[in-house]
Amino acid sequence: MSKPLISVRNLKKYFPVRRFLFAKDYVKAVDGVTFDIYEGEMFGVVGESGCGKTTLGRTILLLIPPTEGEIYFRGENILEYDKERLIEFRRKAQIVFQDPYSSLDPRQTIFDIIIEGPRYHGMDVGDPEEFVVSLLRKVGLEEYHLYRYPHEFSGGQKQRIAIARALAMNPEFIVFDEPTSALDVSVQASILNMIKHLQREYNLTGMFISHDLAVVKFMSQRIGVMYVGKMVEIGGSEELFEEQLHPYTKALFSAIPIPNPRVTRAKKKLIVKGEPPSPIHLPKGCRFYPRCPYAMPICRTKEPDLIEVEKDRYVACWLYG
Amino acid sequence: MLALWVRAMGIEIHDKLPKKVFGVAFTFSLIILILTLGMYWLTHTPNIVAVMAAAIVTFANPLAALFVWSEKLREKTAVYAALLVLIIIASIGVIIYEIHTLFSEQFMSRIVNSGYAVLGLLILLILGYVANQFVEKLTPSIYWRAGRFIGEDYINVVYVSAFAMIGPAIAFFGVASLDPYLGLLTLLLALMPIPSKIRNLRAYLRRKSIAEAIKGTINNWLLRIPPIKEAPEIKVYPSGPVAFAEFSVVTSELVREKLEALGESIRIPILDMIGTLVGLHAQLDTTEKITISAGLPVEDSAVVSKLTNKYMIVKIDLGDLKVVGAEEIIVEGEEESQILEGLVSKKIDILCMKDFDKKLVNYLDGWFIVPLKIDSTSIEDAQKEIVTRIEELIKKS
Repeated sequence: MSKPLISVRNLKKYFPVRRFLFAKDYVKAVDGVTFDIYEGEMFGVVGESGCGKTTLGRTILLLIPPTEGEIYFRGENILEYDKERLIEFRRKAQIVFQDPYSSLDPRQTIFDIIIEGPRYHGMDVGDPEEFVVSLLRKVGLEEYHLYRYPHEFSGGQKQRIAIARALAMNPEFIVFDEPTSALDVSVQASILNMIKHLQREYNLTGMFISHDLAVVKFMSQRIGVMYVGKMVEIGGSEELFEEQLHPYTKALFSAIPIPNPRVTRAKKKLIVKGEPPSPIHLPKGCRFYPRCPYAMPICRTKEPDLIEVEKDRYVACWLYG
Repeated sequence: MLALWVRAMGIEIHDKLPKKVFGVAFTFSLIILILTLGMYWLTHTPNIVAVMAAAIVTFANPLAALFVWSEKLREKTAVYAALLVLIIIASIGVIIYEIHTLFSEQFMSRIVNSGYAVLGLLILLILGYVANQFVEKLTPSIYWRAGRFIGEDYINVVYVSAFAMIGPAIAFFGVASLDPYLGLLTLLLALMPIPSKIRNLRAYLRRKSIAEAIKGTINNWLLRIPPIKEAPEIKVYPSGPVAFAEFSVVTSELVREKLEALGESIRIPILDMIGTLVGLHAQLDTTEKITISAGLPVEDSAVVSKLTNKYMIVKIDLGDLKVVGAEEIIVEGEEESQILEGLVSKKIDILCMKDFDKKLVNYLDGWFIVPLKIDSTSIEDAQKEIVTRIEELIKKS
């Protein structure tokens, strides 16, 4: 395996919630996450809504400052970067947001939207028009789209523009934050195929956030499963779909509907009870224990660490501790 | 404050709120009360009287906790009830007396040194806030609910002080006649914490049923742990809103080496589940004079080495190391997790199989069940082998 491009160590992002005057509680959106993303790989992050996937992606890019932890880019802690290096990092690390409707400035033409970043960073792009047109073609748009405004495009086309804008910076790392969840199913496939094709062409390293397991499997080489701010399992995409170790991962994968009723009947389902706990007052010990069918007394007393149980297979569960 | 004593045959767990929480709470309450007295003497505004009433109430919750926390006071909760009644009467009394004075003086303004009054109220507001935060910060996270209970009335001091500032502030700018009217409103606001103190009093009167509910929760958790066979005698000392629990547990010799882990599995979930506990004292002992159960997965009257729905439960007297009985049981469920949950609920001490995978060993360990490797395939041979293996296990430990 190649070197890690991004290494995240014990990353925490707590959002204060005012309780009384200056007294605060904290929503632990990301709570001690550790993982690596290797060069050229697409790392998928899955988990149910509100588990902290988006916050994790944004914190890695320093769009929101972390509460604690370290983020390494090519072995250097980006939290120790000076202003100049941070600006350079911002060029190298891009994001494609979930909602294409609000992520593009409605007052700018597509040309301005795409060229704004390279201009700000003083990149040598040759003829700007040619540069933007070449990017538009790469994402499946045409030259005549150049001076149109975002409202003249469909959701899928807007997301293509957002991807072109990210590619314009010649990035080394892109966070795709549920790029297809706001799109029609018919458009989703073409966008996913395009991202996959671009990833190969540019040898892009990325983080693909989604709650759609099939999409993440299609897009990623490795997958991390998040539950209430914690990474509970990390493994190769194929291996993870073959066998899930953490009970939450099992439950999550059990929820994938299978069109064949015979297979559905034969398949053993693990159904978890209840709702995820409040990220403000997390239970003592493992945060999944109130819903876990394998819960043991130790799960109520100590939080399990994410440990390597097989090669490149990590799980945070006392069943494997 | 956790203390763990390892004794010859067992351990003792003493875990309770740190003493400093009470020290800080009472000190702040006293400072706030003395300050309000001094300020009333200096300024004569009814607004300060309102804060005084709120300050008196701040003694109630730390007292409720102290009377069960302290071993000496635990049996004297009647004194707590008397003090609580006194606090309620004192607080309401101060308010009623001041309202009566206001009406009898026909809302004549008495305020002097209004600048000092504003400054003093600001200090009271800050003190109330600091007291609330201090109590919460000094409370270990597992007692967060008890900590919030002890410090909750300081918030009323903050609110009342903030509101009380309006009258003296207006007086400071020359309109002193409004002070008594605003004082009346502040006095009414100071009544705010009284209903919760009356609820405390009602909780005190229902303390026996509260104690029963806590006992039930502790018992349910303890009896879920397979090596704990009998419901222990649990003593709960409630003052109404908060309580202290005491119990002792006897388990088999098989878990002697895991007693500390067992202690943690008792302490943390109980304190976490019952947020109103300010401490617990538990004693864990092991004994050989106990009958343990070993589970053998069986299929077609033969021992198999996989999780099934049918199990032969072999009862063994640990003291004599003799089989004293056997019965076949059915564990419901198709899923592995359901079968394992079923085995735990049947309270087996040992699971016997030819081979165990790591996940199963960890699960059994987690529930303090001993995974015992056996080679026999017939039930009779297996029973003998289990006794031999247990003997080896005990010798080893």
